Amino acid sequence: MMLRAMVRVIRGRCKITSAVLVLLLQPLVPVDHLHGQVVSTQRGTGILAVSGAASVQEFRLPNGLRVLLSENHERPLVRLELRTAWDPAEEPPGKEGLGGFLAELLKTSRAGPLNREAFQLFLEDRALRFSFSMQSRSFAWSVLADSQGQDGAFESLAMAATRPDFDGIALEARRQSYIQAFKERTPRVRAEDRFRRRIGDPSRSMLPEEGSLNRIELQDLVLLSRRVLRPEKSVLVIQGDMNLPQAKQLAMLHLGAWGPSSQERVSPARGQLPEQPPPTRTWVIREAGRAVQIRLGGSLPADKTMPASTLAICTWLAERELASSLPVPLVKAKIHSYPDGAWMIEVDSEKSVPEAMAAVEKLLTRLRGKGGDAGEWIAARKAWNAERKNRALHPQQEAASLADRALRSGGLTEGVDSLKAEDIQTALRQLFSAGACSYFIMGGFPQDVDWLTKAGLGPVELVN
Amino acid sequence: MGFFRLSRGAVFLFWSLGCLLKAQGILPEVQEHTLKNGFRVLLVERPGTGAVHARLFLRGGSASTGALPAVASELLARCLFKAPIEWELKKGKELEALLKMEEGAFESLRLEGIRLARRSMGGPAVDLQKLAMLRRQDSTRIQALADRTSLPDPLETLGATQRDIRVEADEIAFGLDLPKEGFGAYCRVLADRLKTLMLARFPLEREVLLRDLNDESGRNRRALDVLLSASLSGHPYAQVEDIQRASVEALTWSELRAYARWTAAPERLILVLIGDLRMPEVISAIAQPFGGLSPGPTGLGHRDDLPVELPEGSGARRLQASIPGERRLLLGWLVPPMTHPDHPALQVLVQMLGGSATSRLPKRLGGDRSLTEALSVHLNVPGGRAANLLVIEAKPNARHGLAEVEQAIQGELIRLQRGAFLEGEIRRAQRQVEVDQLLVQEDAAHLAQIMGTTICQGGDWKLAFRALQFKQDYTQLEIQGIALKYLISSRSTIVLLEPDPILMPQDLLEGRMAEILTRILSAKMEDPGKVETVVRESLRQLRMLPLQERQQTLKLLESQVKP
Repeated sequence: MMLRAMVRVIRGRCKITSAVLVLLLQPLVPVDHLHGQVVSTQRGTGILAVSGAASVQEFRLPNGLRVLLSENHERPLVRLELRTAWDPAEEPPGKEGLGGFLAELLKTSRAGPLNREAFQLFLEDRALRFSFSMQSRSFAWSVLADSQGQDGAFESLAMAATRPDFDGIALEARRQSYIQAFKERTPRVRAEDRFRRRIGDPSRSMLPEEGSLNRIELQDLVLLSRRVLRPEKSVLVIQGDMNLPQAKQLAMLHLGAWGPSSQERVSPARGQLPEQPPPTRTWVIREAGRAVQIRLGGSLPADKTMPASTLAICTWLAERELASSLPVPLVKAKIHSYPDGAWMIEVDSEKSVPEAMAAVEKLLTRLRGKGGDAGEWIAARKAWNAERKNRALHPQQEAASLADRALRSGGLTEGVDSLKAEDIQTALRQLFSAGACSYFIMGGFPQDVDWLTKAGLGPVELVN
Repeated sequence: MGFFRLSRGAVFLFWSLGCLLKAQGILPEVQEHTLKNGFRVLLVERPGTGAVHARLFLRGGSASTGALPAVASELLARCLFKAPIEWELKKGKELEALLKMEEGAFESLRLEGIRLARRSMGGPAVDLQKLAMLRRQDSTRIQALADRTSLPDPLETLGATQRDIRVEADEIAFGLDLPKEGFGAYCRVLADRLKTLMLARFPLEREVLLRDLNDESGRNRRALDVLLSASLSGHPYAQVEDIQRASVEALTWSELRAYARWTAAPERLILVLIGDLRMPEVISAIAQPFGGLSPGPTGLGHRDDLPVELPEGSGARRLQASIPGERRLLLGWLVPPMTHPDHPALQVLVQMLGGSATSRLPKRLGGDRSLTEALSVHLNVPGGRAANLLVIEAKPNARHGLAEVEQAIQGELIRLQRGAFLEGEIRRAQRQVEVDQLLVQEDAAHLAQIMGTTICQGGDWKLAFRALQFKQDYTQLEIQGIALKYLISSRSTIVLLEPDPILMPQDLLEGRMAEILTRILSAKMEDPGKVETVVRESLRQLRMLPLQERQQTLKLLESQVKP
């Protein structure tokens, strides 16, 4: 341990280049700003006691970027997680899916002065593990580096997230390739894509449909990126082998210039928009001879949020319900839950679709009625606390969770002690409410699908 | 005397180097302990986390099932590590009797089914319904026990999360996260399971496995199975992905228990722990439960002595197979086990070929040419304990054929063998391999998995971090030499997998197109074999067209045929 500590000190001294650079820059920035401002502290130390394994230090850059640091000098690794809030209400009428298109372009656009291939080489030369993803209410970047690559990690983040550069020709090429891909989709794939989009499954691309895709212009993407990629709407989590002064220096050096830009809104589509039919609620894929498989899912309304802990407990209770016993004739059921309250249940049935659907309704009723049993509630709380504690073994999950919490609620605590059984019951009713569910049904299907509409599951789209 | 001094010096040098790497945090600080019965534990401390990741390895995976089918390892893992149904039942004897009854009923049913099939020429009919009912009764009783007793799972009540069961060719692994307070109870629960080896979930897990045979993972397994059985025939590795319905049904509960006694013997167990524990507390927690495990039976015909090297092969093998699923191309080359001195250089070669978006193959085959939709390069397929395969797997884009992709890959390999290297390419690949070995240490589950796998395959966990221990760069000549030694046709097997357009039309449109084309060509060609060949090839070409163009082509063809 002693030897390891000595090596750390020596290695720290080797990082002289960035330190000197920052010292040169220091006179340009007020000292208070360079060192950040502690927004909430315990006894003025700048250290926040966060429920979880590690304590977190927090500061804010002058441009509004909130930075959270979780130090760990056990391994020579540093992880950066940047989240920026995304509100689907930013998409104007006629340009639905604009955010998904922006996310796709962010994966392939120029990063600062580098084209994509040069950026990839930049990452590889510095041995950085870089990823970007879009979630239903945020854009997320993640970089992992060894201690020697921490400067490069910040630089890569700064280039990709704060200085993306969209090229009109590349945009057109992308648009054409998406349109071509859309045309080549089989009706079944198209239907499944629409269902997944409806329930807010982030594992599927959130690209716009063909109509919207044709209406989106380069200017729209530029405006949206300026509105969304903003420091004051973002949180950066730094985790690993870095101390507070280093974190402040590097954050300021690379992300301090991430300045305010115009807040102009994206304009709605020009001209008269074609009249939209009411959105489909149930997709039916008719495949004679195959066993019945039903997917049902839903998401919270755009104006509602649910804390991750509540969502996790609801999922845990639903998993238990699915594992204990299923209404006949369902034989297999699995629940997937996604951040921001989206969920999907997959069930298999050995009997006909009408029988299976009746069982699915029973299952939903059971799920909505859960949470009242005191023993179950205690077990769920215990399971959540164990999960939270065990997360310390997985720094990536820990950092992502911290960033999500900071972005979503501002607060960092995630305890469930204040939660009551009634809160969970309400949340379960909200999540699995009958009106919010969409269905994707596959199997040998009777000719007539009107009964689904009569059962209140319309509009129905039939795919042969 | 001089040699003695020299070797002492060398040992000291390696020891110092090891200490320095550990001190820099480049190598994990691993503590080891072995109990008297051979049970081995490895610990990497992560103080302050309050939790521990525990991963138990059973040395001997799907390549070590002896006379039993490879699927025995998968069933064993599921029965052993999923929530046991005998928990809280405390009636082991009764449960055992019930399992024996179910085994008898299932086996009788299976044998009668076979007899009936053989007697299809004639002979007395057997009442299969009665047997099926008998078997269903036993099965339902076991399912009822499972429903009643499997919740709450004892491990879940300890706070276990992120449970993960893995079955590989050389090992079975069971990992989970646990608050550190639960570690003692975890040891007792697991040792208890290993002692009794009731495997009461067997009938239920067999049903699940049979049901899942045709899903997506089943199709992927079948694709790899074609490659493995063609390139490693005669070696236990050849059968690891071979899962047949008949072999799952033929496996009995008693056979699985006998196999379990050998595989789950203490001398074959390794427990890897990463977390907030100290070695003395680990030893005191494991000593009684795991120390009490009795040694396993010897012999039993298990293949514990895989041949390290295989003959170089009998020249390039090329197979075209029709299986359901997506089109894909698999190229495999025979390479030595992970303990071989050439292995680190092979890792660098794999990285250069397909380790990242800017590696050779993704760059040349993807990018502007857009030949492939997905491409990956893997080493140690299916395991690293014996001679294995370096595999390139590619899924061509809709507009390109398998042969075209194969040609492009071969072209790139020839360029490499001729020494056409890019500036800094080797150094970059080597750095990537080094950093991979460093970054894998971030996550406790990944670290435990790689350490355990490496012990099961190579005997020493340090092999997983070999790239971090060598500070010298490979030269162009060395990498070129490796490519010339291993990526040669005498070691290669190439498999082209594509659903046959006539046997397995991809959609209704293709089926109709085959029908029309056959009618048109039959009128013009006499040989029906030739007609089939032309139709097949035409349909393959038509697959590369977009849906709309295919629809138009069908309309054109239909217009040529009289209604």
